[in-house]
Amino acid sequence: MFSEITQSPYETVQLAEKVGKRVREGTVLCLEGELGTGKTLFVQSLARTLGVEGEVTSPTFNLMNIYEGFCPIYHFDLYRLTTEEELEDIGFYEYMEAMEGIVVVEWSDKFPDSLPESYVRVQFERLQAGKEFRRITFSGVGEEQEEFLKELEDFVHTGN
Amino acid sequence: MSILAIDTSTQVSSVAVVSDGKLAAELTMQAKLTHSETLLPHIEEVLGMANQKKEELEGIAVSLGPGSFTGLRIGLATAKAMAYALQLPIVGVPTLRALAWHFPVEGFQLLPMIDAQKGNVYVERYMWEHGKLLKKTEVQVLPVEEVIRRTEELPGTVVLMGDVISKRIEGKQTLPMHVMLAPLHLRMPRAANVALCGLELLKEGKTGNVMDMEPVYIRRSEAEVLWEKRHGKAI
Repeated sequence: MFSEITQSPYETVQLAEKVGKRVREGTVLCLEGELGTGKTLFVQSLARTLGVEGEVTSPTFNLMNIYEGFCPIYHFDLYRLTTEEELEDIGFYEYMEAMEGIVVVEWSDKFPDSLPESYVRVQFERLQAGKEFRRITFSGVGEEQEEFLKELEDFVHTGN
Repeated sequence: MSILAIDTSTQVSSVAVVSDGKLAAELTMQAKLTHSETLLPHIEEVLGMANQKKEELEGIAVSLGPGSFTGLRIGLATAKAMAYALQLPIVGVPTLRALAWHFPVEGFQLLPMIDAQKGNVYVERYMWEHGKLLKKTEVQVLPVEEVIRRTEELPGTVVLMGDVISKRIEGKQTLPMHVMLAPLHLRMPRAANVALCGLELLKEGKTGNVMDMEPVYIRRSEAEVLWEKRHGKAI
């Protein structure tokens, strides 16, 4: 687990770009945090780094967007959903277990029991220090994520 | 009799044309989750390869599920639209039944299984008797380990097939001696099976209606509730 403090949206963009350069296919990223903490901005920058050229917006109403970059990116937003049945209806579990592509889930904390066995949690928090200050914390849930997180942490801190 | 058959219940996308007792053409590929982009071009290609005008088809068979919700919706929507536009009879073929057509041999216990996610599978048991495929148990949603445990009680050779084999069984589970895994080419759904199975259903007059035919969705959450009622605890 490691945290980064970003002092502006621009720094959040830079962090997401670094994640985009290291993230591996088959990874599920679950984004937690209140409205306006930078989740969507993070996904936009991540997608752009992964070669997506079109528009990236949170699928609050259409629930899932698929972007074609260097690999497919499946972008879910669970904000509007209330029951597990709805997740099944949109094929959520099928995508969670897909080996191809990268999955990003916003508001994943609404359905803690429905998340895959192994994923990377990304928590966004507002800090008192400044209006645009955020603490962004990466942690691995389940096995298989430790190595990736270590590599990501080194890359974020040293650029290597 | 010429029919077009479609199976998009798993990651495999498969389209076939059976015409006058011949498997005229089949295109089967393990696509990623992009059936929506590949299915219609594949249909066009297979019809072309079989030299079959779509206006001269006499029926459409489609794999009904259980399986990937997204895949089933794409397959069914496509089959329905074509059946409606071309005014053709449509027949829904149970996906697990079509899988059992890979082994039309008497004396084997056939267990077709499709991934139901989170370690669970949709499973039915079939046997061939006197040239007929008989379903021995209705569809259930069970953990993979439970299905393997239950094979210990089955007499004769048991054949496991379906997408679950490569994903969760081969090299990951210990199997009893009398249980064998279907080889790769007889493991995943194929539209040729759907066509053959569909032709039988068509002959029996078991056609569907484009207006109200639905995929076989079995929600895991519902299945778990039933399991808990019967067994008193969650899986």
